[in-house]
Amino acid sequence: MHNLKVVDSTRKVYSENLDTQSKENMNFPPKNPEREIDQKLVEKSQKGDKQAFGVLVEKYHKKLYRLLSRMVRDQSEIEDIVQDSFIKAYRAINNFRGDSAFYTWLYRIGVNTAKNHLMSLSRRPKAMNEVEIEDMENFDDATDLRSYETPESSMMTKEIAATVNETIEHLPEELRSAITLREMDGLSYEEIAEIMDCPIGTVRSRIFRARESIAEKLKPLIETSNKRW
Amino acid sequence: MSENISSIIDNELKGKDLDHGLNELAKNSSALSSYRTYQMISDIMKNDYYDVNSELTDKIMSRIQDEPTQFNNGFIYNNQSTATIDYKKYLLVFLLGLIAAFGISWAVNNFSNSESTSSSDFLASDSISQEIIEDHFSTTTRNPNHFLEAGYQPNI
Repeated sequence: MHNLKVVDSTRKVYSENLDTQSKENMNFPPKNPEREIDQKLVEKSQKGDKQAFGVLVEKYHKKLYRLLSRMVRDQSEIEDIVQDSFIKAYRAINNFRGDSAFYTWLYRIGVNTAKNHLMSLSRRPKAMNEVEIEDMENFDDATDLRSYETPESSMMTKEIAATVNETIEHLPEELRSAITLREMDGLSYEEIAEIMDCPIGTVRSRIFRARESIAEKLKPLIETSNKRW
Repeated sequence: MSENISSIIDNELKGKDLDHGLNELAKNSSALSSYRTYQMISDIMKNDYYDVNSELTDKIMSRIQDEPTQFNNGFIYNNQSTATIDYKKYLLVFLLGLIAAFGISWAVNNFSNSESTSSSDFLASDSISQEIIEDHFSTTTRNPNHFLEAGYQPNI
């Protein structure tokens, strides 16, 4: 993993600022907005919009890949299982009623597909006992998963991280603070607006501009990265 | 538009703006490309980036395109053009069926009419004597006398 040290000082300043404010006074959104967005995409998919399902694929394929890399070592096998899992999810999309989050439902499909795959090969999930599999089925986020990157992909990841780090370092202060508070502290726009004492629209714009600046620097790297496959 | 995509990444878009943004994301490849890059930046900053084959989503979507389109009203179509072809095919089958039904109906009517006519003509024909006709009916099971003549004893 590649830490971004440059943003630490910014985070410290604003975190102290945040601590002094009463979080209770902030109006947190009552619903889980991520789940709401996923539900909208599911509903569009259920109405026959395949591209909406494509957005869900875009959003969750890496997380599903990482989850399954705990069960299966071979990269091409993982890719096949990820593909099959999304196809199964698409075929069953009309059965999804939103009782659970979409990704929980998808991950369960993925784990079952991987289990069936391993059983068909008379293999057991690598280095895992039943308890660990149960843990994984309750997996909610990809944060603590082990990765099995190749040396080449590891180098590319380091390069991308370094570029992001360097670009953030050279961003104007207000852009750097906005994106740091959002991405590393996970604050909402409203919280950031309170901390930075500016309108929410300004926060939205600053975060967007910061992303655009970083994206511009990443463009050549992304093209190189895509060519590797 | 990209600002909306940026807000979608942060789950900060609501209401009609969200619907608009999601539509754009689903239909516009450059919007999806921006989404992909913003997501990458987000993952990198959270130390959560994982390098996966960039063609994987294309492979998945290519297979999804080959799948029949799912509708929550229970209908499944392969795609719009196939749906039209299916419709035409069913219309053709329906029309052929209709023509066949008319044809069969017409043939049955004509055949039964001609049969009954010829039958009555035959019975009334002078070329066959009445005696032969009576003899014919007297030896059939429709004639009760036939049973008595054959020695059949009804078990009463």
